[in-house]
Amino acid sequence: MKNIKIFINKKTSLTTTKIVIFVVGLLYIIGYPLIFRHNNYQLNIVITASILSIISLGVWLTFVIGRINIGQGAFVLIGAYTTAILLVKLNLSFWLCLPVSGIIAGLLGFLIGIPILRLKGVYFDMLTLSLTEAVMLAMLNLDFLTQGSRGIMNIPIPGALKIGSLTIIPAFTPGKYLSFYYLTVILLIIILFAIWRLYSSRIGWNMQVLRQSDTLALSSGINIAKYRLISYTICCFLGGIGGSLFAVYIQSLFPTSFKVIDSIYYMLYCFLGGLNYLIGPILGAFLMTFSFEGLRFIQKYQEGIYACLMIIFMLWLPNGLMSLKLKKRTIFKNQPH
Amino acid sequence: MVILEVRGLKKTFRGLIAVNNLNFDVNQNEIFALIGPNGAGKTTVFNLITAYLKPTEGSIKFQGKDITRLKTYEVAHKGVVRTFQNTNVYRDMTVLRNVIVAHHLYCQANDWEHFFNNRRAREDNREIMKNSLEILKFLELQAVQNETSRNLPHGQLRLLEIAIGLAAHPKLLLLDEPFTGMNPEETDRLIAMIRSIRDQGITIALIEHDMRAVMTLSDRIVVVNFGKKIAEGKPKNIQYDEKVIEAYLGKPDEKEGI
Amino acid sequence: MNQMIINGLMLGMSYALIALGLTLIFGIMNIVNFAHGQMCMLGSFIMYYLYGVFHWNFFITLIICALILALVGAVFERFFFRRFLRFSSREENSMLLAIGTALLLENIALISFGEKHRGVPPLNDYIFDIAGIYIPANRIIIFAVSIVSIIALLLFIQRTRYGLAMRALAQDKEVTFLMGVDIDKISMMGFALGASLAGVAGGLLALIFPIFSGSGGNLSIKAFIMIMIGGAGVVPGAIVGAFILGMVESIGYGLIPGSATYLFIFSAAILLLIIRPLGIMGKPGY
Repeated sequence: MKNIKIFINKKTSLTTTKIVIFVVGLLYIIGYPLIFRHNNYQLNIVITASILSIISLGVWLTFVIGRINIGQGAFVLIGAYTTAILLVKLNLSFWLCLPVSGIIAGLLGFLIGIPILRLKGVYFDMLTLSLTEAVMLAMLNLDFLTQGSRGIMNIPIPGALKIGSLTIIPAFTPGKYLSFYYLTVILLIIILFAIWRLYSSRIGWNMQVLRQSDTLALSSGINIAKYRLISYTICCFLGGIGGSLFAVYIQSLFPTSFKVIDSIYYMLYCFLGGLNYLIGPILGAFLMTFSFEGLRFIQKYQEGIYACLMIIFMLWLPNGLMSLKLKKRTIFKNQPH
Repeated sequence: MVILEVRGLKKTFRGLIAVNNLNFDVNQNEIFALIGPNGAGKTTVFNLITAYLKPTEGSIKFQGKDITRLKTYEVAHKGVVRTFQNTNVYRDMTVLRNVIVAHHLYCQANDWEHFFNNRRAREDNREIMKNSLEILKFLELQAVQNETSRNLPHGQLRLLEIAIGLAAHPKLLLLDEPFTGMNPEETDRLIAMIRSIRDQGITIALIEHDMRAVMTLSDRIVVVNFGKKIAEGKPKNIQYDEKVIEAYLGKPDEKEGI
Repeated sequence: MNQMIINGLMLGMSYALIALGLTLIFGIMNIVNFAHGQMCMLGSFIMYYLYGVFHWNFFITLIICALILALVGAVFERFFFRRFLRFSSREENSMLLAIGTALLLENIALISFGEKHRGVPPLNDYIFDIAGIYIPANRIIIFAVSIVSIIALLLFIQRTRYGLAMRALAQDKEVTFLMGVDIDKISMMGFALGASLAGVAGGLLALIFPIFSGSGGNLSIKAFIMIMIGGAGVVPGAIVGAFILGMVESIGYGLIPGSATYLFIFSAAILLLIIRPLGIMGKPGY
């Protein structure tokens, strides 16, 4: 019995953690909106943080296989533009655009992943850096589709989701953020659960193994190219979903809406929370978004603050926030993790 | 019955001939040893068999089927698994975890089933757990099973490598210098373990420099030097073969009176 | 067309300075210096203030650029990277640190200098006209200084003991340590040297490109492309990559509308890396 408990992904086998997460989750979904139902400002923070979490979770997945992906911004941009174009030019329902954006971003990620994942470490990193720039340039130049530098404005907010005459999701009311809140939060939870499932399964093990030793993985019969690709494709898919959500939330889109610095922020959220932990990126995204709002007055120096924060943080806690928690845990319980 | 056939194997690296027209067989359920002085090309042969390198010429057949063109992970899938000369384990994981994740090929369920964690996947997980513990017990590693592999002493690391190899349930296990760095006591234990592995039906091919281990364990030996086979036979014949002695120790020098 | 080629060559030479600095740091410390573009930018600002505003001698200012950036590089290595490389459990973290240093530099510049784009007066107004191709004397000076610097660097690496130590460190850190080399000192030297090259390049490019605090990001990306296509960690790779980028950029800007040039460059780089995953001259092991 003890062995099987150890066996199940250790991050979630301890029941106290499970309870804490459950309670927090409950408070979050039900409690928060009850308090802040009419406070758009507060809702805005959480909505933004949730979308950022989804995007960062994708980047986290590439960290699991041991790669540094500085190109997530590219796929957020692709997802956002896909949704914007489909909504504005083809008048499709948002509920169709959302998955389509994710799929297109994932597909493009898959296609570009095949060649670039073969590259060794630093080459891959630097190339992903260029990706965000490249996609921005592409959006800028594909005038006929994206309206270039003029951008796409007045993106409509999601309409109702109807099957026949049955309304499953009512149309969103302009000016009221509550519906966005539920949309993003529920999506985040679903995605979190799916990624957790992935990480705990054999697929997740194989990905973790990739980070440590390619050669050894091969001799155990693991098709490393396949699992690398799975990780990267899902990462880009999540980027696309995030982009799609941003498009209808912010309702305007330019080629410069998502820049290299954003790709770096997504990575930062992962680092902040702790690369070894599934909820790391979410923790990081929420922490940064909340604290950034709280420190609004220094917005002018935002990047400077982020930079110093990054450096100090990395020097002090090289393994992220969650490593603090782990230290306490191993002192506390004397049993092998 | 022959389980592995190597014919005409040749590998050149830009003009340097590492393996030169090598022919040998490995019989089912035997303990086969490939020996030779340093640089003779032995590890290259293993690399070629397990597709870490592509042969310049030649063919390799496993259980009658041609595996020369297969990819590395496909060769493992067929049942040929190897260990490495330089210790290769998953350093950040515990010993137990190392062995668990190496069970990739042992699963009945496919990736989708594992994702949805259906009954077959859960059955797999239970089996893998059971099997991992068994392997660790067999190699006497159960005491350190929750230790991070990075912290293990050298001898146990080598055993862990073998555990990882066994997890893949091979039909043919290629061990690359498993006895390196072991003291006589550890060597004896490992000899017994390797015999035990063979008794469970796994064929073993060994590269090794520890002559005591080689002579004690092997059923048959092939000696290579400069990529070519220079002798083949049972241990007691190889020990006194002139060419082999020459390869390792050199020719007697009349002038020096050796 | 010939004009574009000549421009490309001249640009390539200065770019080579940048690429060499980056490849040096990468080779020795196995860190991608994200702040490299920002270091160039700093060099440009030093040139702006000392040469542009205070009218100091151009060449003396260049030397000052080199020295100040060498100091910056040494500080980075000593206080940020050295401490860090000892404690982190995952190598990826060092990249984040590098990114952090880049943001730090950029924001210090933003706060100190503001967002305004600036320029400096040219060194010499004369423009040579050779067979219909216009070559400003400015650019010739940049070209000349670049070549001299590169040759000096190569001589240093090949002929001096410190250069030898750096090459050894790039190949095998542990053995070099066992040989009695003070790797901390050599690492710091390497970083400082790479940074100073960036500073000199920045100072030179101040003559022809606008100077502003945000220029670092783009330069960094260009530097990365150079060493990606040329081969990371190897000197000839940096030079080859720099020239290719310089040429393609010049010709590209001449032929296709502005932003499409770099789109083409990115795509071409990806294609190149598909065919040769280590860059043109890259060696495995990096």
